[in-house]
Amino acid sequence: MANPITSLRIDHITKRFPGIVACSDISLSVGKGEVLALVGENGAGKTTLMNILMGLYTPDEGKIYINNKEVVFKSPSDAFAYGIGMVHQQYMLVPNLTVTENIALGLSQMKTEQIASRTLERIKKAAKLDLNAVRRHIIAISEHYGLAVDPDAYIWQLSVGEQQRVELVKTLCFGAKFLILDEPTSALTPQETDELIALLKRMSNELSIIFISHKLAEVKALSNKVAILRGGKLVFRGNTADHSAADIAALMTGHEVYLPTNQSKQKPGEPMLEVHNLFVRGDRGNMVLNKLNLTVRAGEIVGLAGVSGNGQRELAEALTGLRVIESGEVTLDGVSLVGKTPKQIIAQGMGYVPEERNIEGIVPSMTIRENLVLKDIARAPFSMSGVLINNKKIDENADAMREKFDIRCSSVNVAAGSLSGGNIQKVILAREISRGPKFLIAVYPIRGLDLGAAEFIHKQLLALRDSGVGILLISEELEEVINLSDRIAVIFKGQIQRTLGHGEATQRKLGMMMAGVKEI
Amino acid sequence: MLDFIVLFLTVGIPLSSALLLASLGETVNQRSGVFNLGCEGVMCMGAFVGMFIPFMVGGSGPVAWYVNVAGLLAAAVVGALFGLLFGVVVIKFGAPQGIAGIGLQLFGTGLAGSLYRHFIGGAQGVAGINSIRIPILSDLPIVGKMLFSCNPMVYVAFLMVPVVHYILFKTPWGLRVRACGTFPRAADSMGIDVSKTRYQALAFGSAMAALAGAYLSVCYAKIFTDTLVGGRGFIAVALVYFGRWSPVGVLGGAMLFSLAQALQLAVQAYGFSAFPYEFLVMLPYVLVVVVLVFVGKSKHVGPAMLGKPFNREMRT
Repeated sequence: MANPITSLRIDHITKRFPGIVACSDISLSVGKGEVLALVGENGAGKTTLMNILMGLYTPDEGKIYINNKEVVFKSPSDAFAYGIGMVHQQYMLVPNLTVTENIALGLSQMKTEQIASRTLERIKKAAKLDLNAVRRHIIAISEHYGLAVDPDAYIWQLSVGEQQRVELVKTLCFGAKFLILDEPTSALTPQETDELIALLKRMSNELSIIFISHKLAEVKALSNKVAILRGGKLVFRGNTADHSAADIAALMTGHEVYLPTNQSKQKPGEPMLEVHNLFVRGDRGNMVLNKLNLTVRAGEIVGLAGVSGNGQRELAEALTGLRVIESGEVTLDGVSLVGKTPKQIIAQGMGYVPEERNIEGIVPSMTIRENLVLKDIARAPFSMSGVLINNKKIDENADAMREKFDIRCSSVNVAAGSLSGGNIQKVILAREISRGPKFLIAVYPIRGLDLGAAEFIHKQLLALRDSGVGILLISEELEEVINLSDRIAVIFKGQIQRTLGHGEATQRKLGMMMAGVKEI
Repeated sequence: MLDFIVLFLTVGIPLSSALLLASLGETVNQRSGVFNLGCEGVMCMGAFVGMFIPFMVGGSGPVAWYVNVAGLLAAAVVGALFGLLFGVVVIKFGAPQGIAGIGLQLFGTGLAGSLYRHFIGGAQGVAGINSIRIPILSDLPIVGKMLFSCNPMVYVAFLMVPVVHYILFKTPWGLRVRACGTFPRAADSMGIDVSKTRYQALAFGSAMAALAGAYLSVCYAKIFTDTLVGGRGFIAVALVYFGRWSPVGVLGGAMLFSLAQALQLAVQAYGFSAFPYEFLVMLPYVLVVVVLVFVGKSKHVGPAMLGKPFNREMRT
């Protein structure tokens, strides 16, 4: 068996996926008993980097050293052999197997020489026939670390918090002394989160831990080192104690970008969108919006700032009819949207620039001209009573939009999916704005776009605001939110933490509020 | 009336064997996350190979019996090879499983028919494997004829129900198979080779399907024809859903279907003319469809990732 890990070093790792560089030249190191927080926005490359460390992805360039010796991991079992274990963000538990069966599954797979202790060797043999030995091992581990699990429960019967404990027990049963945790608290309730943090703090006496997070309170509470990734690059590393949560937030999201700012003195009008005591569930069935209240008036941009995963996506989906509203009231221009279909909500004057522009915003295989009329194809002038399509009008519309919104394409007859991100976003914006909406929800509208496209899109949003449309701008980029918004609402754990006026908000202040601090 | 019931069961039990073997095999396939719609083609190949060996070798007495057994085993080997071939198409190259399965069905059925006409031709039979009478027990009234005078392969088929159950639920390999069908990413994260496990499951499942085909040609009809398998491969696939991916459930499905078929035969034999027998011919098929409509839809039972190719570095 391998010697215990005293140091782990990632050296100039690069990983490319078709079309993107997920990790670019990243170097990191973790010593014995250290807790490293790996921080960054969605898509910054944190998970990819950890999957490389676990042998799930092969790096294109770079090396991994353990105790100053180079190692090559071809599969997770190679990583287990060195005592590295990972708890993935999406739990790697087979729902229709019991806790014991799930753990036996991994144990039965280990090669004898990889097994860390003689007890484990006996267990491994036992896993062939006897689940009782595995069960005893689970109970021993769970008692040692104070992780309560029921070895005979089926995974699908367990709550998210319980599944997390099973994941931890599983990793420890495999003999891990070096834990990687990918956003361990993202699906937990606040109480479960507190328990987990306390538990990990205790465990860090015996183990080294890397944990991925973008919740800065946890980073401060748990880690002694922090590394920040942005766009696949390592932008910062240092000791956690030397930096405030606000500093880390700014480093995580900040871009030095010149973008237009909201300088209009126009007075906003009547309330356009009113959200009252909104409760909405997330994909895992837990409540992600908890009694959220928000008002956006006509001719006003309200920026919704927050670290992603605090309910932004669910809010946008609930407002557009894509997600069921558990309880609460939502009105658009005085008309309730609760229980309405997306079609009815669109007819009510709702515009939507979704987060996933390539999947939700356009139909990639359809042409630009078709994508531009997606929402209106069933109506005049683009079709006669929804039966016969009027190609001439659609062409005229496409040419006008291409001109007005500066959509750069060889022809409006090419597939929209072949365009660059910025041009796809222009197609979406053209479609939404030209429909004359009363209200627009824009989710991460310039994420991943180049400066030129970002500037154009911001100008369009400001012009739309000046024409009297209410806009909810959801973004993690503090600069974008500060530049554009008349008011800024900070969302934290499914609630509006506080609302700040234009000029009242600074990056530092927002960063702290995004991290959960209420009063500054 | 008693005679009628005895006839009905005596016909029904052997009828279920081929279905049972094939669907137990398909259960293992599907538990690993691959559905093999080409089961029918594999059965046809099994049926041909199974009778081809005894037909070419011949022999008499106990030798003939062993040669027939060799035919069954050869059929299983050819079936496993077909399973691996299918695996290359759907696992290695990630082809859509439904279409690839239809391809395998056409290929297997066509190849078996062509080889039969080339090497054998005409309606020629083999001695085959005959039913055995278990001493004493077979002399019991009623059940003696029903349960203790069957073909050895019938016993094998029924024995495979607990065997497959044990394999799936009590061995590490079965655990891996189920994990790969439900959540391959999790299996992969624990160091399990998802592709290898699926290849193994396909080889096993297809060997079972081929054995089912060979049962038909060597033990049941003792002859090969193009229509011998007659859609049983497709019914076998349906029965897996019917049985909710459990060997015992599959047994229930195979029995229900075969007994419905036997009922129809018994009714014809007895010449009941109260209503047209054609309706009874339809009965088993209608039953399967109706039951599939009402069967439990709990998502926690079956292989959730059935039919989805797995590629570790494919981002979802």
